[in-house]
Amino acid sequence: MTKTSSSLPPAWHHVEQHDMFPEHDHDDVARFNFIASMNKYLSQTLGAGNELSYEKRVLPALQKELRREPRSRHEIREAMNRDPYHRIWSAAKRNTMEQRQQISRSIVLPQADALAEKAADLIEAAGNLELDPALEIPPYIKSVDHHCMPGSYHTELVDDDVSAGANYDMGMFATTGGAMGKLTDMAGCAVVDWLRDEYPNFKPKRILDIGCTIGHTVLPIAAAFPEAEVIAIDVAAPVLRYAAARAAALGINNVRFVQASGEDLSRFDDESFDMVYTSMFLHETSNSAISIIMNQIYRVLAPSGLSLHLEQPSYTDEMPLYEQFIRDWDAHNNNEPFWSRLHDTSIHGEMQASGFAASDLFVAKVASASVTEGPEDHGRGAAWHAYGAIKGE
Amino acid sequence: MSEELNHLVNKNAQGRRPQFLNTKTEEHLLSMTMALMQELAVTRERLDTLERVLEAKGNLTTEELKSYRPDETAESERQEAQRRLIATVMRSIEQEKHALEDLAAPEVSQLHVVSDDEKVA
Repeated sequence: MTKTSSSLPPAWHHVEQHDMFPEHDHDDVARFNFIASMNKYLSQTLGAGNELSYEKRVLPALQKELRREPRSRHEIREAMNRDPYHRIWSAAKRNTMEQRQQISRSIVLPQADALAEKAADLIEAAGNLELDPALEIPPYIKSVDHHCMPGSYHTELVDDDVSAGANYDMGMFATTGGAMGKLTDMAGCAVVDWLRDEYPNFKPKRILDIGCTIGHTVLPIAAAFPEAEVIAIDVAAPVLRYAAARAAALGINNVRFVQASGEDLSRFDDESFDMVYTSMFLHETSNSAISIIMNQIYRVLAPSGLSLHLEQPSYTDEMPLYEQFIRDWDAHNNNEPFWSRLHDTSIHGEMQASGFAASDLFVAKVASASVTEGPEDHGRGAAWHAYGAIKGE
Repeated sequence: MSEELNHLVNKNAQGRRPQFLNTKTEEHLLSMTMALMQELAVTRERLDTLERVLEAKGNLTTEELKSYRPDETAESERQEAQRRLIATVMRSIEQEKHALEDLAAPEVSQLHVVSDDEKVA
């Protein structure tokens, strides 16, 4: 990982230019450099202004208005949404999300056909992709374009389209200021490090990643367990094609990418996986889906198998209301409609309802070695809460 | 052909866009300002690259820069760059136009159609 001071993100040209990576030029790099710098500025320089404004004027006015303390993050949000500082900060932040999408779309769409051809060749040689054109895209994906990504993960623009995957791959390094690494794989690396520390004897023979997107998290896990058979599923064909081609380009050959929903794992036998995980996936599902997914996971997980789910921390009673409010920004302003509800949901509760005993459950903090000092860019840092369970014998 | 996808570069993301500022006009002005800042940053980075490369080669003269005239290829590349810059800066208004395009047309019965009789009257 490129080392930089916490105030300066690494320049975008450090991103790993694997064989599947879209062609781009000098000014494209400069545009991403601007986005990364602007994001850093908004979180590290201006971000604290939100809390200052809250403490100094919004909260006192709210206390006067309510004649009591605010009782929920929703009350805080309604008040903050009237505050001029929070409004211009939010407006600027929303724009960086939209700009980031436009930049990568302006690079990827003109070469959509060429990328599709390149991917098809890599996939044919690797034989690592299984699509299901009959698969119904779930309503929680179809009804909103997550994080302002026009067309979301699943929209097909050309034959054998990979543009949604290419678009995703290009932007992550800028959005996260490089914190996710040159291959956007820090979540997977963090899981591997955590497993080595906590369960050094754990040698899973079969691993399932649900909601794999472009396979950025699964690749370091597959590389760490080269003997394992790894299956990565997603509902969206364009990101899966890109994932399969990208894995082939990076020389990882023990992952099979399969178009399937986490809500229907019927193609897999009972107790057939030693490890099933999701990474920043559950917040893009729904209340009913999460219960179904957890039930499916419990069924396919072998005894002593590991179920692990990386997310941002849940909003517990111990978390200050202001922190809940600011962590909730993406739910209301960056097209993450389930984000708010998920963080009110007990992931452990869902896991327990699926069959795990209370004593099977744990929560761990997993973080990448590249986590920088300084104010947190909520939801974009390379640190997660891992909600996990080991299935009893 | 991938070029046919050019019109999708400025596509809206599906989902309600919050209004942060007092008016739509303010939202547009902020979006344009931020895009302009982006493109200014890009231009500065390009100039910096140019100056460093030329300086390293030791062959830059001010006179050469002043008297430069693009050939036909360079001219069309520059004009295309102009178009892209404008499309980038004007994105938010273009997106509002897309929204207008998607807006259902009002029912004919809701329109006040001026009849010939009324015009005469």
